[in-house]
Amino acid sequence: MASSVWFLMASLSADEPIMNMMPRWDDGWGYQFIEEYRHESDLLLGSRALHPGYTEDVHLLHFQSVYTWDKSIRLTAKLPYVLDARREMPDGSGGKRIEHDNGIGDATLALPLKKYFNLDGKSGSWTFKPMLRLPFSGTDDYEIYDNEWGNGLGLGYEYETAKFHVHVSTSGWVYHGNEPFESWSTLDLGYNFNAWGTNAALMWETDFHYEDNGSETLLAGPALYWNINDTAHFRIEWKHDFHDRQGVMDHGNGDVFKFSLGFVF
Amino acid sequence: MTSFFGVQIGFVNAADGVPEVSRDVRAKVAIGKLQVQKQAALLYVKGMTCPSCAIGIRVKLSKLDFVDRDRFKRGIEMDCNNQLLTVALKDGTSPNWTRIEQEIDNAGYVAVEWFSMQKDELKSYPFLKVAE
Repeated sequence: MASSVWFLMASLSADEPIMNMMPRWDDGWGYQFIEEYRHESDLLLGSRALHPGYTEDVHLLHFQSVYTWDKSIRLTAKLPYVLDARREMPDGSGGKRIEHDNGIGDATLALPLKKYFNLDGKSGSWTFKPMLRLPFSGTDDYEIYDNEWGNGLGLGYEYETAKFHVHVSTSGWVYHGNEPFESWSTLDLGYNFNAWGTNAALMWETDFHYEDNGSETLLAGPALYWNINDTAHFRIEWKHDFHDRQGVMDHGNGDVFKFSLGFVF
Repeated sequence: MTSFFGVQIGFVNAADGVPEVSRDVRAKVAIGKLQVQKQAALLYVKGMTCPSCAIGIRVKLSKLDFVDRDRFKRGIEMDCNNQLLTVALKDGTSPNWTRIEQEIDNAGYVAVEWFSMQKDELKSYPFLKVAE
């Protein structure tokens, strides 16, 4: 069941708690809540809107946690919860059929292995990240999550100066059931600045998603990160689908909004 | 050693990559900080460019018994533009440089050297791992 699954993996695959940055120190830990809302405008087949105006709205809450043993070894766990998902599908007689999903989603465990480098005026890391998908989701009218075991591998590179940061990553997933191979690639560019006695960053993030059933989506948009204090960190982001092609009939042409609040110790 | 505005500067070679801050600029800022901050230790921490990523430096160092947590932000001030770290010291204490170097390493960064003013001259002292 490929429908609507792809974009959710963005939350699961592309970013790591906390805000992709912390904790960099050994014996550090943290947790993060992400509220995600996505609206899809059309039901697509290929790049064509097969059913224009057949929408899908998904409201999710992600709980994510991280523990850093040594500064180069982290363990992350992510568990999504579908607060409400609603989509409009053709009923076969010219009308719409409304389908819903809610409840727990599939969990993801990851072991990001980091190789840091520190230069004069620049710091960054290389990341090698094995991942495991655990099927926890249930059965409703339709399923946001696959309810399949999966294995993933991620690679990343990032660096930061006092003013700018760059993050590039790619990841691939294979599933033990019927789901096709999929990959996510991301390019994040950020500008750091100080505000209200703390630091913040304004970013432009671009994601590309591919499935070997012919689906591909390019989405991009701005994000704002705010370091409230040493413990609390806030982030808001919006991404728009600039290119959307569905290899099987699925909703697309959407926007996604995320609000994140993370705590690190 | 380099002479800068009549000040003897003993930076170790840390200019790998493309430094955003020249050694001269960092030295000038360091002098300014040392003239203002009393009972404090001043260090150059290579890579300390992001205040959020470097929170671990504060987490680690603020637990040291000679750090005065009532000053700065839990006893630590991070100047990420110049990669200079100021550690507030309790009255009557002196810094344990070995512990400081170790905790900065645990936080994911490299303590390169620490500074002091002697007769209006900036002196720098490399940390052990850098000096080796």
